[in-house]
Amino acid sequence: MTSWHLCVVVVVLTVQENRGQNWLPVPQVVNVVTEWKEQRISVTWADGLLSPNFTEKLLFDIEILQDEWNHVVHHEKLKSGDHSWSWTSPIPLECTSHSVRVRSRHQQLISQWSIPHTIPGNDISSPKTIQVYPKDRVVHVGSITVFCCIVTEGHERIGGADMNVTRISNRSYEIVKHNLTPSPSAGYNLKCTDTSTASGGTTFWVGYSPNDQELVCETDLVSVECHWSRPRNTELFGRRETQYTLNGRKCKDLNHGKQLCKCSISLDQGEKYRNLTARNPLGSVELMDREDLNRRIRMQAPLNMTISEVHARNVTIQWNWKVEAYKTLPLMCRVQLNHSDHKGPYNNTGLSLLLLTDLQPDRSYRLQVCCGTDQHFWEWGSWSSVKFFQTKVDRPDALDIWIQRTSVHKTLIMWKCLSANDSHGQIRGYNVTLESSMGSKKQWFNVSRDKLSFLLELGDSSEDHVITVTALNSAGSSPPSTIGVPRLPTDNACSEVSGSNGSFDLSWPASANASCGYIVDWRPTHSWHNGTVEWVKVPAGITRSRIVSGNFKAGVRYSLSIYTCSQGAPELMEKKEGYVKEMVPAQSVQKLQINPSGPDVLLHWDRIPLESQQGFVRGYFVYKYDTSSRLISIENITDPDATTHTLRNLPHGSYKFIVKAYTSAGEGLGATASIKLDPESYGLIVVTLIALGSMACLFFFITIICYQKRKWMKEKIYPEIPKPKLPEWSALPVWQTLDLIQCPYDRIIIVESEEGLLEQWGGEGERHYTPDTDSSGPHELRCYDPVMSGGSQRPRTLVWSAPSSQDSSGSLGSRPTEVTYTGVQTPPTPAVSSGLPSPQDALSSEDYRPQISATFPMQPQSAPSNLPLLQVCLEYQPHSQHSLSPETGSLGGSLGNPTYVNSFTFLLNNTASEKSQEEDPSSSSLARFNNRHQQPFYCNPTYHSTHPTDG
Amino acid sequence: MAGEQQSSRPGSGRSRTGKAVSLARLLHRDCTRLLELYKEKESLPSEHSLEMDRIVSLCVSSPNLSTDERVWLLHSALRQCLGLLEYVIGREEELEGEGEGEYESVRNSVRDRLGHLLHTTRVLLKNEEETNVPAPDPDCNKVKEVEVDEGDGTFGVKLWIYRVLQELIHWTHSASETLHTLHSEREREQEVGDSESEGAEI
Repeated sequence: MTSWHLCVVVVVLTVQENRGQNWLPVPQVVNVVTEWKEQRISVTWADGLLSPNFTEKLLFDIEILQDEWNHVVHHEKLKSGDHSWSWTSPIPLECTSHSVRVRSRHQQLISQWSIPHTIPGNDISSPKTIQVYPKDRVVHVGSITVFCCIVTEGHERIGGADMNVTRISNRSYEIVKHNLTPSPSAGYNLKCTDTSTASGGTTFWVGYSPNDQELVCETDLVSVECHWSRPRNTELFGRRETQYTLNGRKCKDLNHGKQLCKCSISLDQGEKYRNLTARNPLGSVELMDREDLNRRIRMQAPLNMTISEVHARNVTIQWNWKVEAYKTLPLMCRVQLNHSDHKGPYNNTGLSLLLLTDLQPDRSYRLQVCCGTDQHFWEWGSWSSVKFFQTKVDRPDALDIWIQRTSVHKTLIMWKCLSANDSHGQIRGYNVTLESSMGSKKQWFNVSRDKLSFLLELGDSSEDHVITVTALNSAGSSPPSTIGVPRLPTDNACSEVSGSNGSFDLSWPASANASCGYIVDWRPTHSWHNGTVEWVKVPAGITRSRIVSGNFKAGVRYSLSIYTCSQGAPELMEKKEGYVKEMVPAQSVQKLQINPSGPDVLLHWDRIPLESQQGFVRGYFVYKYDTSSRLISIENITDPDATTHTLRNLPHGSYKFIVKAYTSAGEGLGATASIKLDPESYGLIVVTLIALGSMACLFFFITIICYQKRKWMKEKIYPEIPKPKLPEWSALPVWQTLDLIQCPYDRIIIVESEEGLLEQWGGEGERHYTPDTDSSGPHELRCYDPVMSGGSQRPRTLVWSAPSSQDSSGSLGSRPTEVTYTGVQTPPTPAVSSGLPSPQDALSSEDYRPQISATFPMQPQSAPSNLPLLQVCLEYQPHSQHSLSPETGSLGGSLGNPTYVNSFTFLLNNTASEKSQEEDPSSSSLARFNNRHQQPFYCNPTYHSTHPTDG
Repeated sequence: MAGEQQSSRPGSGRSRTGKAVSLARLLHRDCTRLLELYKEKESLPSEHSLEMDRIVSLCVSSPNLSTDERVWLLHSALRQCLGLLEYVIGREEELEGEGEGEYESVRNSVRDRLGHLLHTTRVLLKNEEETNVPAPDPDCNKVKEVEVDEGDGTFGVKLWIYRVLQELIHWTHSASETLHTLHSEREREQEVGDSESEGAEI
C-alpha cells in the first residue's frame, strides 16, 4: 500500500515538472472522523503537490455520496481555504454507506476528485434481525426526525401505513417522523417488520431542553441553598432527566417542585458567586447568582423554647441558638400568637430572651418565634417549635348596660354578655344596685351568671333612681357601670325609617344634653321580650349611626329609639319604626266580605296583622274578574288604612273580587269573594206577584158582578121552564119518565189479545154491581141511561185503547200499567137500533176523547168534553121531565148538546157541584177528571185491581 | 382449595403445600396481568413474537424426576426469575424514574410474592430431609449472570424485559402445577399413614 502511494507521488511530481503549473493537483483525504450519535462526518485533507512558485490559496469542492449506487446527496463549494470540513447527515449514518471526496479549485482550474472515502453503513452486513436507527435518540418537541429500518437480506420492509417511508438503499428504508409530541417516561417505540418473521425497533424520547431561570441563593451560615424556577418541564425522566450542578458540585437534596427547585451545598467562604448548570440530552443552561451572601442570611429556627414566667397580661420566653455565629449578630425576632397575631419585631444582638406584654388574661396561647438579621435583613428564618401557655385570670371589664322602663314602678336593667376578651376569666355572677338619687334607699341584688337582665321594682316612682351593675369573677369585680332610670315616655310619636343592606342608617339632630353621646336601642315591634332588645352607644358629637345586627330579619318591623346620654337618666329623643328589608305581606286581608247594594257592591275587610304585614302596607289592589275568570279591572286603593271599597254600577252577572295588600316589595296574597248580581230573577218575581194580584182582583170583580147580575143572567141563560100541561091521558103510562138510575159499577176487564186490551163490563163469575142510589159509594161512576128500562140494560163495554201488544205485555208484566183511554163504546142495543140516540151515543166513538187534549181533531170546537155530560147524567134531573116528541124526541138530542149541558152545570151548580164533589168522591173524581182532561186519567182504582195479571 | 385447607391442620405439611399452591396460582395471575400492563405501556402488539429460547433454563441429567426433585428445580428457576425481575426493576427505574402507575404497583407486588413463594418452597424442601436433590450441574443450574443485549439499545432491553415477564408467567404456572402435584401426593401419603396407624391401634 505504501509503495503504491509512493508511486502515485512520483508520477504526479513527474507530470508536474513536465507540464508546468497549469493544472491542479488532487487533494488527499487525510482523515475522516465519524460521530455516529451526532450523525456527523468530519473530513480533513491536504493539498496535492504544488509548484513552489504557486503561492495562491486553493479552494475546494466536496461531495457526499450515499448508498451503494453513490448518489450525490451533498455538494458544497468551500469558500475558504480550510482543509477540514464537517457535515451532519439528515439520516443516521448507520442507515447506508456514505462516501466523501474532495477536489481543489483555483480560478478556472479544477482538479480531479479525490478517491472517495467510504463510511460503510449497516445495510451491507447481514444480520439476522431487523435494525432500526438511530437508537435511544432524544429529540426536541416538534422536531422532524429521520429513522431508518434495515431489513434482513432478501426481504422487503413492511410496516404501518401511517409511516412516511422512502427506500434509500437496497435494504434500508427511511422513515420520517414529523411534529413529535412529548413522549411518555418510557419513550416512544418505533417498530419495523419485514416479510420475514424478524422484527426490530428503536426507542426514542421527545422532550425539551432545560429553561431554568431566576437563580437566588441564601445561606444560614452553614450551607448555601439556592432556588430557581423551572417554567417548563422537560418531559424527560430517568437518566435523561436534567442534571444540576452548583459551583461544580452535584446538587444534593434536589427538590423538584412544580415550578420551583432548590438545591443546597455546604458554604465555602471563598466562593463569591454561585453558578448553577442545568443539563439534559437536549441542551444545558447556566445561571449565575452574584449577590453577597452576607446579605442573604436566612436564620435557622430558635431551639429549646421555654416559657419562664406567666402573668395575666405578660409572659417571658427564652430560647437557644444552634449556630454560634447568630449570637453575635444583631437580630430581629417576631412572635406568632395563635396563628394570626404577630408581635414584634424585637431587636437585640443575639436575641434569646423576650418579654411578651399586652396579653389577654385567662387565655390560651400558641406561640412560635422566628428571627432574621437586623442588619441587611433578607428574610425571616424558620419558625421555632410550638409552645402553649395560658395567662392568669384578671378582673372583668366594665359591663355595657342599658335600661328599659317597663311600667311606672318597674324597670328592666340589661347588660351585654362579656366576651372572653372582656371577662378575663369565668364570670361567676353579677351585682345589681338600685339607689335613689336622694340616697334614701339602696338595694343590692345578686344575679346569677346566666342572666343578662334584671327586673327592678322602683318603689317611689317620683324619685330619680340610679342603677349600678358589676360583673364578678375569681379575680374580683369589674368597674361599676351606672345608669339613671329614665322617665316613661309621654309622646308615642313614631316616624318611619327604611332599612338598606340589612341595616338602618339613622341620623338625628344634635342635642346639647348629650354629654356622653347617644344610645340607640331597637327591638321587634310586634313582639319583644328581654332578650330581643339591643342597643349601641354612639359617642358625643356624632349624630348618625348605622345600626347593624345579626338578629335583623327581613320582613320584621323594628322599633328604634334614640336617647341622649347624660349624667342623669337617658332621655328619649326620637322613636322610629322600620324594616331592614320589606317583603310582600305574608297573609291576605282578613274577613273579606261582599255586600251588594243594587248595582253597587261594597267590599269590606280587616287589616293584615302587624306581624304578617312584612312591610308598610301602602295600599290595596282590588282585582275584578268575571265568571270566566277573566280579569276585568284592577283598582288601586292607595289609602293603607282603607278597609272598605265600593264598586259602583256593576252590570248584571257574576263577579269574583280579589283584594291584595301591597308593600314596597309588592303585593301579597289575595283574599277572594264572589257575588252574582241577578236582577232578572228579581223582576220576574215582581211581575209574577203583580200578575197574580191582578188576576185575583179580576176574579173578585167578576164574582161581584156575577152576583149582582145573577137574576138577569138567570133570565138570560136559565129562564124558568114552564111546567108542562099534562093532558088527561097523561096518566097513562105511555111514556116512562126519566129517572135517575145509577150506573152500576162496571168492572173493567182488560183482556190482552192481539187486538189489544179489552175491558169488559161484568160477566160470568165477575162482580156485578146492582144499581146503587147511594152516591157516597167510593169510586163509583154513575151515568144516565135513557134507554134503560128495568133490568134490560146490557152491559156496556169500554174499549180502552191500550198500547200495542208488545208494549202492553211489557207494561203489564212488571210495572204499573199505562193505559190510554181512547173511547167508550156502547154495544148495539135495541134502543139504539130504534134510532133513539142515547147518552152513550153522545159519549161514543168519535166525540168522546177525554185523554186527548182539548184540541181534538175530530171534535167540533164548540163541543164540550164528554165529562160534563156525565155530570149531567148524574145531577140534572129536571131535564128528565122534558117532553120529548116521538118524532124528534130523543133524549140524545137534548143531552147530546154539550154546550147546553156545560153552561148549565157551570152556572147553576157551581157551588153545589163543588159541594157535591166534596161529598161524592166519584163526582169529585169526575171533577178532577174534568179539570185534568188533558192529562191521562186513571181515576178508577178498580181498574188496576181487576187487572188480570193482578189476579 | 378451601376443602384442602380445611382438611389440613395449620402448620402441617399439607397446610404448607396448600398455601404454596394458592400463592403460586395467585402469582401466576399477577404475572399474566403484569405482562398485559407492560404491553399496554410499551404499545407492543398483543401477540409480539419473540425468541423462543428460555432465559431461565435448567439442566436436568435424569429425565424421570420425582415431584420433590421437580420442586427443587422449580425453586432454582424461581430464584433466577426473582433475580431477573429485580434487575428489570432496576433498569426500568434507571430508564424512566420511579413510576407510580398500576404497572409499577403490580410489578413490585410480583416481586414480593415471588420472594414469599421462594421462601415457602424452600421450607417445603427443608422439611423433606429424604428428598433426593438432583446433583447440581455446575455449568447449568447455577444462577447465571444477567445478560442483556445492549447493542440494540433501549428497545432491545424492552424486548428482553418482555421475555423476562413471559418467563415469570411460565415458571409461576409451572410452580402452581408442580406444587399442586406435591400437595396431592402428600395428602395421599398422610391418608395412608393415618389408615395404617388406625389399623395398628385396632
